[in-house]
Amino acid sequence: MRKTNQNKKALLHAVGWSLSAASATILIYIFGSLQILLLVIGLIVSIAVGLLVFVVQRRVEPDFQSDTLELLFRLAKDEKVEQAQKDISEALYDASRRKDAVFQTLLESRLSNLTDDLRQLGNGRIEFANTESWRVFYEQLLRSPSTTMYRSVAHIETQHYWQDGAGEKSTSLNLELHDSGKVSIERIVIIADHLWPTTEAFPTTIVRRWIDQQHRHGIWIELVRESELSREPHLVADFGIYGFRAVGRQVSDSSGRTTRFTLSFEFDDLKEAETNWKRLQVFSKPYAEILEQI
Amino acid sequence: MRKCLCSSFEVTGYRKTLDSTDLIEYDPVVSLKRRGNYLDEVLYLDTARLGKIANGAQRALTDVLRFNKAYGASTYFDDLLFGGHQQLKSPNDFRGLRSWNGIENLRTDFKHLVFGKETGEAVFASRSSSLMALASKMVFSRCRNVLVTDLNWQPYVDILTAAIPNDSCKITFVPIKHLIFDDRSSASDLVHFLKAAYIQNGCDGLFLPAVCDRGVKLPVKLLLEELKQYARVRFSLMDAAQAINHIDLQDAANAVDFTIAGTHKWLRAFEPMGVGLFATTGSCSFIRSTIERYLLSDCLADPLLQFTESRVRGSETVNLQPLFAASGAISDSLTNRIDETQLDIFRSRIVAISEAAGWTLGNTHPELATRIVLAHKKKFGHFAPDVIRKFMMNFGVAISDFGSGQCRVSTPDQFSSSDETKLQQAMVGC
Repeated sequence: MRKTNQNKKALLHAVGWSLSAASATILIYIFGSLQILLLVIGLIVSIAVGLLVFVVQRRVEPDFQSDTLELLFRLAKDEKVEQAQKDISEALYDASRRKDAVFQTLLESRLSNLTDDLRQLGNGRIEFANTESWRVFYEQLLRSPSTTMYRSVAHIETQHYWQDGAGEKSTSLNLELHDSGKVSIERIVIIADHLWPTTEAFPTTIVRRWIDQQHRHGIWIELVRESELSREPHLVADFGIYGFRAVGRQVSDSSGRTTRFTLSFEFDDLKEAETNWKRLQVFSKPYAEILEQI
Repeated sequence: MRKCLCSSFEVTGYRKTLDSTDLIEYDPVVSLKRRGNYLDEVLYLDTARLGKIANGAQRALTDVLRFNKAYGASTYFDDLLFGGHQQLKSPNDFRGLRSWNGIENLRTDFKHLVFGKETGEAVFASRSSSLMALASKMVFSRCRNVLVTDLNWQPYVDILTAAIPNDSCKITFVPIKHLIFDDRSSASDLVHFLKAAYIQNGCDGLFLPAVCDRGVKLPVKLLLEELKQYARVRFSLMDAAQAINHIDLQDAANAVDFTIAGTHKWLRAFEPMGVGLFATTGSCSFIRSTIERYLLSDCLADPLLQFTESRVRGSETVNLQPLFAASGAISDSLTNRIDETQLDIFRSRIVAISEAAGWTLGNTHPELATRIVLAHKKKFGHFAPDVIRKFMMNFGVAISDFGSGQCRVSTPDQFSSSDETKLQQAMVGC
C-alpha cells in the first residue's frame, strides 16, 4: 500500500516537472525567436527530464511477503541484526528437529510470544514486565545529551509510589539532572482520592513530602485528583515524555512496584502522549498555587 | 571562624575628600558644612545613578569605622554585629550606630520598607549581580520561556541569557519602549499588550523592572493579576534597583516571586549592596532551598550572602560596611517619610524649567511617571556620554548623561528656589 502511494507521488512529481519544463519552452518560443524545431526538441527534453525525475524518486520497496530473500539481504546489511538473525535461525532449526508433540506445542506457544515481542520492537516499543530494570534505560535516556526536557505524569494510587530504593534513586536522578540544568523537568501528579481527599488542602504526608522535595528543587509540579479526570479516564496514566524521542508508560501494583513498563520510540505514541499531557494541564493545578492558598 | 573587614575606608579612592580628622569628629555632615566643602553646593540630581549619602548612613559608616579603630575585629565587634547597638558598653561614644540593631533586624526593616509587613524574607549580597545570577537560576529552574522587555537593564538580561541551561529554555524579548515614549500608552494599554505577547509566545515566566533606568514605572502587579487569569506564571522576577525607596513597591513586591534591589541609589546608603526579597508562599521554600544549595555547592558564592545566610560560618573576609550603611539609610527612610505631593511639585518644576530651556522631555503617560525626568536636546545628538554632565557640573548641577543629548534628572527630596535658579542656569547654559 505504502509502495503504491510513493510511486503515485513520484509519478505526480514527474508530470509536474514535465509540464513546467514544457511551459517554459513554449514561453521561450512565443516571446523569443526560436524555430519550431527547437520547440519540438524542447518538448522532448522536457518529457525526458520528467521521466528522469520519476525514475529517481521511485522507491523500490521489496514486497517482503513474497520476496523473503530480498528481506534477508536487507537484514544482512545491519551487522548486529544479521548476527541475531543467524543465531535465531540456528536455534529455530534445532528446535524444529525435536519431534516430541508436547515440545512442539510449547514451541508454538513460545514462538507466538516471541513474534509478538519482536513485532513490538519493530513498532519501536520495548516492554519490561515485573522488573525494575527499565530504570537503567530510563537513566540512559535522561542522561543522553539530546534529552533536555522531561515531562512526567505520575499516577499515585499508593503512598509507596517511588518510595522504595529504586524509586528513590530515580527521584535523586531527577533532582540531580534538574539542578544541573541538563534536563528541565516538569511533572503532573494524578493522585487517587483516598490519598488526597477533597476535604484536604494537601495529599497525605508521604506523598506530599515526595512532591515538596521536587518543588524545592524547582521542578514544576502540578496536581490533579483522580476523580477530576472521571470523564476522561484515558488521561489517568503514568507516563514520561523524554525530550522529543521516546515515551515510557508505567503500570504499578498496590505496593508501588512496577508490573509493566513500556518504552516507545514510535512517533505516534509520542504525539499521543503530548496530547494527553496538554489535556492534563487543563485539569491540573500548580503545587505553588496550592501552597499560596494556605 | 568569623572574619570581618570594617576598614575599606583607606582604599576607597573616591572618599578622599574626607581626611583622618573626619574619622574622630562626631558629625561629619556638620564638619563638611563648616568648612564650606564644595559638595554641599552641588544641586544633586543624579540619585538614579548613585544617591547622595543619607545622613543616617553617613553617621553609621563613620561610627563603625571609629569603632574599628578602637576595637578592631574583636569579639566586641561580633557582639555589635549580631546584637546591635544595645551591645555597646558606651553607646554615647558611637551614637551613629543607634540605627544598627543587628542583621536580623535589618532584614525586618527591609521587609517593612518593601512589603509593608514583617512576613517574607530578605537576603543580602555584596553585589546585586550575584543575586541576579542566583535569581536567573531560579527562573530557569521553573520556566522554559521567559518574557523580558527592552526596558530591562541590559547587563541583567545578559546574566539571564547566560543562565539559559539547555535547548528547551529560552527568552522572549518584547519591545515596549516605543509604546511608552511614542504612543504614550497607559498602564492598562501596556498590560494588555504584554499579556497578549506573553500568551501568544507561550511564555511561562517573566522578568520586569519595577522602574526602568529611564524612569518608567511598569504596572507589575496589574500585569501579574491579569496574566494569572489566562496563563501559568511559574516564576516572576522584578528588578527594583531603581524602585526601592523611590516608589511604593508594596503591591508589586508582594505579588512577584523574587525582587532584587540595591542600596546605593534611592535608598542613599552609598555602599552598594544587593538585597533579595521574597514573600510569596508558593515560592518561598523553593527560593530558600535554592539559596542553600547555591551556598553549599559554589565555593565562589557571594561573600556577603555566604556570611549572612550560611549556617556554617567559614566565609572569606567580607566587607560588612554596606550592612551598617543600609541600616542608617533605611532608618532615615522609615522615620522621615517624604511628602509625595511635595515631590510631585518639585518634579513639575524640573519639567517646567527644562521645557522653558528648550529641552524635550520623555513624554510618558502620567501613570508611568516617577521621580526621574528624561530630558533631551536635539542639538547635542552627536555628544558622547558625560559631555553634558561635565558641562552641567560647571553650573553646580549633577545629572546622568546617556550621550546623544539625552539626560536623566532625578527629583530631589528638597528643591529650593535657589536650586531652581541653579538648574535654570544650567539648562539654559547648555
